[in-house]
Amino acid sequence: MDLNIAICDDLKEDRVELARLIRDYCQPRGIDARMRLYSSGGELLDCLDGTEKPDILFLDIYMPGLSGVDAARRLRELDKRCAIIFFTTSTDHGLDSFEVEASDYLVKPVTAEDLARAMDWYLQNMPEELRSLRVCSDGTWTELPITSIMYIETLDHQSYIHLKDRTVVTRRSLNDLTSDLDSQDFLRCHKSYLCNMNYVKAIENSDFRLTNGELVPIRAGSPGKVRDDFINWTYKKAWSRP
Amino acid sequence: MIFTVHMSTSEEDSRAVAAILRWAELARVPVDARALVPGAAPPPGSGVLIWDLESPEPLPEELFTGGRRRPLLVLCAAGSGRAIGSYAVHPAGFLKKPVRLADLKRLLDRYIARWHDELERVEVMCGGTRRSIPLYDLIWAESDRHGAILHTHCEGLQTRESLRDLSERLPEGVFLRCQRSFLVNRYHVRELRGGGVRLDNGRDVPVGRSMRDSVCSAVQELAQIWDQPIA
Repeated sequence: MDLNIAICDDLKEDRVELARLIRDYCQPRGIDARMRLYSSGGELLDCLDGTEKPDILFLDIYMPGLSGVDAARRLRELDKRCAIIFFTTSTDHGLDSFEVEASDYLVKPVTAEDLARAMDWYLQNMPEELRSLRVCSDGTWTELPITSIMYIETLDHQSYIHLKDRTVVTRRSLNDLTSDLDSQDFLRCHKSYLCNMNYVKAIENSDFRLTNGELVPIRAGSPGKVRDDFINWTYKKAWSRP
Repeated sequence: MIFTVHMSTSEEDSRAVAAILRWAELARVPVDARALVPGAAPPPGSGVLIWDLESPEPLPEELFTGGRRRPLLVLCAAGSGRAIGSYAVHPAGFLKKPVRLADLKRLLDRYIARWHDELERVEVMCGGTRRSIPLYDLIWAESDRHGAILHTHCEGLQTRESLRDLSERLPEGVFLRCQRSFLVNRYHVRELRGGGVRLDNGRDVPVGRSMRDSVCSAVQELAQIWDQPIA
């Protein structure tokens, strides 16, 4: 798994020490952590406009210029998805941290245990776009990013996982894969099909038309129910979106 | 949706339950709100648990391990230290005491999609399709020459039904007629602004001269409701 991690602290030694703790946490877990270090809230925000947005931001609060809380407020206007973890000497900003929907609040000096607790929670609750499905195909285990799965079909006791750029075949059942995906974005629209509704462009007669032009059948017994489920999902999605 | 509250005193419990029921009435969410029986475990599942950290009882152990399926946990207390400590259970929100109903509303609005299927709805024909729209989602509506346009969080829906016919089918007390051609959802009214009402989504809807007084008193009444103390 790849993670983009940003650290923003005006104290160089704190930035470096935290980066070391993060590396020590990620390496044994097979996480490829790409880290960027910033020395002020202003520098962070300037750079975020042009670079890949971080998945996790470790943010000090007391810094010259823009404070960490103000930087977090500005960041939230641009990005609701990034997990913000405050790390600071101050215990005065717990309420502010909830206002900006921070993922955690670590008080310096940060220990390996503190960091592990915050990272463990993040990994268990990470946004769907970073989650993956682990399957065995042709004797090899592979991690498939959930968001790149367009639909899954079963045929002759095999499941065909159709991704944006390839198809992966596995012997796991559709029920098993559905439960493993544990995602509201997937709809069992047919006995043999599980469809990622993010890729549905339109409903055409008794099929979903996907964004790549493919058709995924809708079960004949309850087309109205599938259509309603799809419409409800679009509403839920719109409400959940920042 | 089941709300369970555990505040510092039984008076606060009753006040919180009453405030939540008022919220539910405006949001048109079927709600069962009750105080946690002393010593009992909070109900599992998809409800909401509001816990005052200044109450003498510690947070139940199962909240630390409930995973994704635990209730939506809302904690409240006065101090920053308790807010930081609460990250051990990662609540959905933390409300600073004194808590007003408006604070809880803001928080629940963030999670309303969780209860999408339970929301009270109105059925409307739009472009040949019968749509079942949650009342919560119907932010405002306006007449147009073909019937009416219903404005939801994600789109404007055209219906051939007149605004008058539609408003007769809507439950009483949920919508506010602020001009002959405009209807707004009380839940989403934020304030009076200039010659109109400002809604949660930033939209200003004009108020007719003849309706100014009634709209003004309705908005004041709403302000009092949202200002209601919970804890």
